[in-house]
Amino acid sequence: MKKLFRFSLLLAILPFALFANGRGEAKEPETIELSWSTWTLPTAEDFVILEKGFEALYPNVDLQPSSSQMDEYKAKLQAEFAAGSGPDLFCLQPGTLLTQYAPFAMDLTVPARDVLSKLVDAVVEDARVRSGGDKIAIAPMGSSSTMFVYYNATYFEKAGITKIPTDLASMKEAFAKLRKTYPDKLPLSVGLKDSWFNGDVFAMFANMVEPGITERADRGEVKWNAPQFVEAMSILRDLVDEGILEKEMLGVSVYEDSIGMWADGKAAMHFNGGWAVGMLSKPSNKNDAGVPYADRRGGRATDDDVFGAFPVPNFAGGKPVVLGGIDIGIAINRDIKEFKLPYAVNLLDYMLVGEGRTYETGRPGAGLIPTLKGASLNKSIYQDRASSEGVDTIVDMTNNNMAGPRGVANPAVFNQMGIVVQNVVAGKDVKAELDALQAVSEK
Amino acid sequence: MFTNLTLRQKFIIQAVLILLALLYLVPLSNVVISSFAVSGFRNYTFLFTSGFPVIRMIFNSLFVSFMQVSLILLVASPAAFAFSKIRFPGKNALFLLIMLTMSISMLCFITPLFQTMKFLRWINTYPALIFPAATFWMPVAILILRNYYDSLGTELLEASMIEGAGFFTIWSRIYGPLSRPATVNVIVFAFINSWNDYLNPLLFSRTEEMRTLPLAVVSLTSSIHGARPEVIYACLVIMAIPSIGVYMIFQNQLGEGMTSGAVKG
Amino acid sequence: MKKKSSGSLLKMKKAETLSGYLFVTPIMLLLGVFVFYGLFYVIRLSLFKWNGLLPETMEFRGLKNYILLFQDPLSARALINVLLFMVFTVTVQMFLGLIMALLLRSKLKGSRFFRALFYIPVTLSTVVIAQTFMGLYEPYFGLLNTFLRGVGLDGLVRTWLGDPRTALWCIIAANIFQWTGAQMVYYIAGLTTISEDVFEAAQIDGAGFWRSLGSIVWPGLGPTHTTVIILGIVGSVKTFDIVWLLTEGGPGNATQFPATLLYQAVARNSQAGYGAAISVIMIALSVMFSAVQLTFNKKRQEA
Repeated sequence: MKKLFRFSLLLAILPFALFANGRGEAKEPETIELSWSTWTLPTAEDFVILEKGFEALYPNVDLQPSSSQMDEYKAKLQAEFAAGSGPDLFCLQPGTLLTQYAPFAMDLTVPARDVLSKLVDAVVEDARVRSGGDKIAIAPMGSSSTMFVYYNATYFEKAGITKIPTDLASMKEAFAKLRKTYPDKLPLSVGLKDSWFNGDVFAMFANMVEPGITERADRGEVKWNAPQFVEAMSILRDLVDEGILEKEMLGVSVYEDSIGMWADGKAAMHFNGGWAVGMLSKPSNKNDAGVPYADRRGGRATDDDVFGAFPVPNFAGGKPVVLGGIDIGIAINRDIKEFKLPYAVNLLDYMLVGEGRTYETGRPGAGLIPTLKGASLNKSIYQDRASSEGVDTIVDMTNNNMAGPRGVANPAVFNQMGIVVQNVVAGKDVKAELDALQAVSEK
Repeated sequence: MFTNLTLRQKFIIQAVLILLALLYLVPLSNVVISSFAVSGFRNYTFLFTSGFPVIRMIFNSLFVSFMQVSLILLVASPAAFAFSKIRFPGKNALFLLIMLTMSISMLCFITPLFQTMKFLRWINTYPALIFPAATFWMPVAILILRNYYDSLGTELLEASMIEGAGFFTIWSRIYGPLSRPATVNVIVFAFINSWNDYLNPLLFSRTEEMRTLPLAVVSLTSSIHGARPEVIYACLVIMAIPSIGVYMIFQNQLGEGMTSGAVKG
Repeated sequence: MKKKSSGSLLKMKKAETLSGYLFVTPIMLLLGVFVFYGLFYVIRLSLFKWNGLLPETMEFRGLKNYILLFQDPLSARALINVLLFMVFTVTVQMFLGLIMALLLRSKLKGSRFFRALFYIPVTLSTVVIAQTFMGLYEPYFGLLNTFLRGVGLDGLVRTWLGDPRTALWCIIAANIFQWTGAQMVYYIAGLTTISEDVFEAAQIDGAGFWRSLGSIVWPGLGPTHTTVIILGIVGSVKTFDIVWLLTEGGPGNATQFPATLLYQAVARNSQAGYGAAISVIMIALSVMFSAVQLTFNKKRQEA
């Protein structure tokens, strides 16, 4: 027993001696560690490939990527920068994230000149405007927009829906037909449980009433409890009353509940951003490794179904509106060590122009519209009419019909926008909820 | 009561127990059954073959737990011994101070902890995954161990001191080994606590390679296509096996300590 | 001779003091770095308005964070939630835990199995518990609603986590599931302190089950009740994981707890100063309850 005790003592001390050895670090090490944090784009699985590819080009670099859920990513960035220790590279999205972290990002105008010159000029200009106008804080990786209805075209056909819904009346008609043909399937699934998603839902309804209104309210030109917002939230309430949005959706998250129900054939329609366009590929459509493009984790129950997409109808009347623009851009930490900078720029080149881009935004099933001049979404896997048209709609809406950016600058406001949506769907008073939102914006 | 039972009483007791057991079995077995849904065992093999670094995460979990347990023992055992057997000024005040920190959540210190980790250059390293969580659990370990040292009496201490032994020798050769029952408790509960910890790795791990298993679930859902629920359930099962296993193995030796050790998180 | 002896006694005393301090130095150092430094830091930070990012944007605002905190209806919501959570988890866990302990005393067939089964959730990560319960609560295909529909109780079907009226209760249920096993173990230990004769007497007297429970067993477990209640209260104050994993404080703030408000303020809304004020209040509460617990423990040891 005594021996055992002493042995365990020794074992316990040993690793600390190891730490002590590992700590002393030279100024310019042989291996250059490059940390890169992002949310879901690229995914953890993508990183396996991207890391291998990048390190093959630059064998002295040890790329340390990290991919988290958006909400978790925000928390991580906040905590890390609060301690002054952000990653070398980090991804940002125009809106809350970019506004908040642009001060920590290096101006890319000069160091990344070569890379930026290969991207679409309008997109680079947009990156400058969104960064505050006096610098380019992010190298845009891809564009996207919200929000679209992803639908099961096979179900639509069998239910006798010949035209995609464009307003409340045609939506109700589609619902009635779907309910009749598929009594035990949901006509529509929406992930109203997620805070980040509900902020987008709020913005979508507000911009249906008046395009650009959220952007103006964000700048303080309109109050958040103005009549336009009351109308927007009343429309949302009407959808609940009409049975288009079910209160049950408050218990459904976007990933994996809502998208899963739709892809598994348990729901006919599903709200999501344009980035999920890869899901339009037939589940039986597989890559060389035998993994379906639409779901890289195994087959779905809907192997032979055809999928499509259309913009969420403007329930306030008129043309549909989508919000978005640059969906994700890569920023370089302004405090990055001198010897790391060239490699960080090389990574930008790799991801926006080179091999990494070919994989990330160029492969079949990718969801972001690439920012490289002359590049577009890879359409090779969308052979059906519905999916092909769906992709075209998403690209067209994103490139040409934008009502404004997603999200707002103040994170507390964005968070509260989502809470307003949840409370309105749950049946609380619209005016009181918007007053609370206005109060949060003044805090 | 409940020792000399009639047949009817026995029947009632069994029935109530089975009813309660069902309440526990249904949710737990639902996880296990769901982990085999759709693709059967392929859900498990998928976890290991999809390029998702689950093996590294299992290793991290094991290593971090092992190190936390070692660190806790190494620091808490001598401290508990001192609080029980050594006389020094300010002893009671220090002990009280430590006990008062016992129930404070680590969450309250997010910002300062990050400052400290930055200063130490520990972010995304093993020490950052080990030290904070271990430190926050040490007061519990000290309480368990001190109670046990208290119950051991001072005769051995006095005898050894007459022989001229120093306190370090007395602790490491005599009292340390004698405290085995309490030490086993500390090992088991510190392991379970560390294995299951979600907050510490959430805050201080930055890359996939430095994540532990509880975060694997988070990583698995961090794809726009989402991990299929079956795969997440498979990951949960893998995660549950070691902590249940450790409890089962040491079940009979826990007794006393379970009451002083099971501190709600 | 005499002189030398007292000298060595003094030396021994000095050596003892020195050893004492040496033995507690590591723990004090670690607590100093991770706890006490943090404590001073958050107290100071709670007097500032800060987005938590650039040090130069810190702006002194005195006690305003505390005033905002006490005026915010969300704080009241969080307080009510944590109190409801506290009262219901503690009482249900006490009652269920005691019942389990009593039933298992019978040492009938399978009692080892039952004991292990009831304790398993305690050994599981909250991540596992949360995922398990999400599988139950999912509105469309979750086990609970599927079961209710199956037995024809469609009227009881709910959006368990998505309905502001049921979400808190679902969290409470998950917490009870996770921790009742721990209370059971406390009661198993507590019951061993009640002598067998007392139980025998109860039965010979012909006292019914509930009567003996109420008049003999329950009062005899005084110290165990105290431990269970105080641990429950202390645990409630810092409840975070299960709430965050199940609802993130939603829907629409219906299930905010002090810890989720804190996390939301710091990690999501960039209100580091405000979050620090919440931290300070939470720390004060935790320390207060720990002090109460220590006093009770001391009394019990003296008794």
